[in-house]
Amino acid sequence: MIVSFSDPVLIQGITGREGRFHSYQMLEYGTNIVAGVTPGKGGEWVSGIPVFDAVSAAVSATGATISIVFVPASQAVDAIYEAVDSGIRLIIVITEGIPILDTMRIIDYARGKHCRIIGPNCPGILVPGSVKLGIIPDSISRPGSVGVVSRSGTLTYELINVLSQSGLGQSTCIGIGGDPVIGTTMVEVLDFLEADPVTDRIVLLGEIGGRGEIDAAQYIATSMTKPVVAFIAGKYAPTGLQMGHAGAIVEGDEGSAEAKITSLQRAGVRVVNNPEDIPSLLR
Amino acid sequence: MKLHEYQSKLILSQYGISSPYGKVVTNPADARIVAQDIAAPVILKAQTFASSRSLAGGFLRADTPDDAFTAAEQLLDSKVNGYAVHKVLVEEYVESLSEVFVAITTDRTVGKPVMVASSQSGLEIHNVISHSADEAFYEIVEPLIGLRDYQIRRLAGNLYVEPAQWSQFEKFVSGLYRCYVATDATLVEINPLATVFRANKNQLLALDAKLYIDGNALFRQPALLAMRDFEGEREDVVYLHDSGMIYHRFDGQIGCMVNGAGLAMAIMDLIYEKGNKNCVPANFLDIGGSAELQSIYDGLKTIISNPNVKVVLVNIFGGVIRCDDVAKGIIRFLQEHPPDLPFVIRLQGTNAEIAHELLAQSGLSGIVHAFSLTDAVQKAIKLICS
Repeated sequence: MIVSFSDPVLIQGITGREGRFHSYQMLEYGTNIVAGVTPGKGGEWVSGIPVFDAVSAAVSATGATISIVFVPASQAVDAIYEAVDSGIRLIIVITEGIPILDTMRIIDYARGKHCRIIGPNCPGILVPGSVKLGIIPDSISRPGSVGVVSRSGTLTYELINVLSQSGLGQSTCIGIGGDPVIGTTMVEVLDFLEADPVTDRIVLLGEIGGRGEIDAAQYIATSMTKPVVAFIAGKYAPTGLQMGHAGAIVEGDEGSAEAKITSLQRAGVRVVNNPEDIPSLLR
Repeated sequence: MKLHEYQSKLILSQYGISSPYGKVVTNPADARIVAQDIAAPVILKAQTFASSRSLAGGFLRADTPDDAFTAAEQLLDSKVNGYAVHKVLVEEYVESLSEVFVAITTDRTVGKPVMVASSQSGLEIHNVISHSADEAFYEIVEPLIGLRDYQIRRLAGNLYVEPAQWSQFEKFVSGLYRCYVATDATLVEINPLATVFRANKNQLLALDAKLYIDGNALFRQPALLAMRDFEGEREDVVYLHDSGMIYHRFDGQIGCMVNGAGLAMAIMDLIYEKGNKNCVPANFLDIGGSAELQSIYDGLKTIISNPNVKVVLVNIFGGVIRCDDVAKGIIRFLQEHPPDLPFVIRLQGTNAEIAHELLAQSGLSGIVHAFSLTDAVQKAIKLICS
């Protein structure tokens, strides 16, 4: 998860609509995109970036160590296997809609090859003023010391926006994704933010489904010194209904917003009812 | 995507899982015919997605074909836990010698499939996991390797399956896992898995079966997708799945169109916090990351097709989405379908200024501009609940 602005990045699915648009946005920001990969489009250029047919060819030619995946869901898992097998060490999967079986397999595989996956169905990483690996809009961000970990996309952007407007810049923002099975957990991001010298306080944006926030609460209680403020979406979501994200569902007793909020509060986290109230609690 | 019991049993039979003989009927006369065919007591089971059907009166035993007619009549006329009954499974009634619960689902925390089993059958899986802590057995399955035979044997031991039955149990359980993988299931549940005595030996039968298919995998499961029962799913749900949007209808008055699930849930939460029972959400609609002009159009159309809607709240934070595209969609929609409703619109992010300008220049009335989440929610509530 430790990335620097000079790390060479390749974009998988670069010639698709999303790939093209966001590669351009990242280039504008200064991200060191050295290659793109779309099978069958090798030899083309996108915004001055050379496109290769295969990840291995791109890595040989450019030394890329990070991949950002915009490949459509039906082909995404194959693209990720390809990246892992080609020596990529960090893969950020933007794609939404990957079958859960595919996700379980690829995350297990990547772990065995010491490759970190962030996502799927995530907006990626933003270190304001430094690194943009993904689709978090940088225009609303500003450098600072608030770390952000979130399962959401646009809710994260809203939060970054109000933080910036309140004069609270961000150190590192990481979107871990909205799927039920993900490559990097909330606990792992909190661990990174706790150790990060630039970060002095943290915002956690969670939602219904699974127990990631409950594990986070335990980690915060036992291993963190930096203050955490949280918002958990979906307090009023009916049981059993999938609320947009594949992972946002309350099943029986598990995954309710209430349980997560209680757990976080017991760990000393202040939990708000309105994300726009977060800046005032961070001061 | 949920499949009915009769569909699940049909699919599972392809993986070596046997169920009692039965047929699905849609009218009482056919129920009588099936019962005559079976020539033995039958059980009639409402085929709905309601949970705990047996506890909610969804299962009726009939000892004669005429009783089957009456029972079918009763079930087909009823609702089970709010779900209307359109189909009834008429099945031979079977006495079990013993019953267990076996299911395969996803362990989200570990990120792997997990087999859950208990000698206590009859409870829903989530109750098994949370309440049967001492009596539930778990086997995590390595996703790249699959379920091992020794894991099944270990489970058989834990459930006190007779050694004489182990080979049958192994075939059965390995069939469940093969089905789970082949159908991209998020849940395969046999509850109860019964030991019955027939043809002079003990046999394993699935007395009930549940199969839920991963919505993200439907693109590669066309045969299963064709079995989808839209009518049977909650009547207030409309699927806009082809466009990547997710819509759930509720009972309230504030129609909502938001991009992003977390944000859509947050808006819903804020409305409940700040409103009262006369101004709550009429729906949940996440238009997703890449809203086409057509999607916005379709989304709005769906929202206002709900006659309870008195105000529409649009909150779009443009990251991937361009706010001016959203504005164009809204303008086109309102020009073609001038509704009698106010629209509270808050657009922020990529091309937001252009978007607000377009809206202002469109000449449309009934548009209220908002500038934050709280502002949008408060304005929507104030318009109908002041």
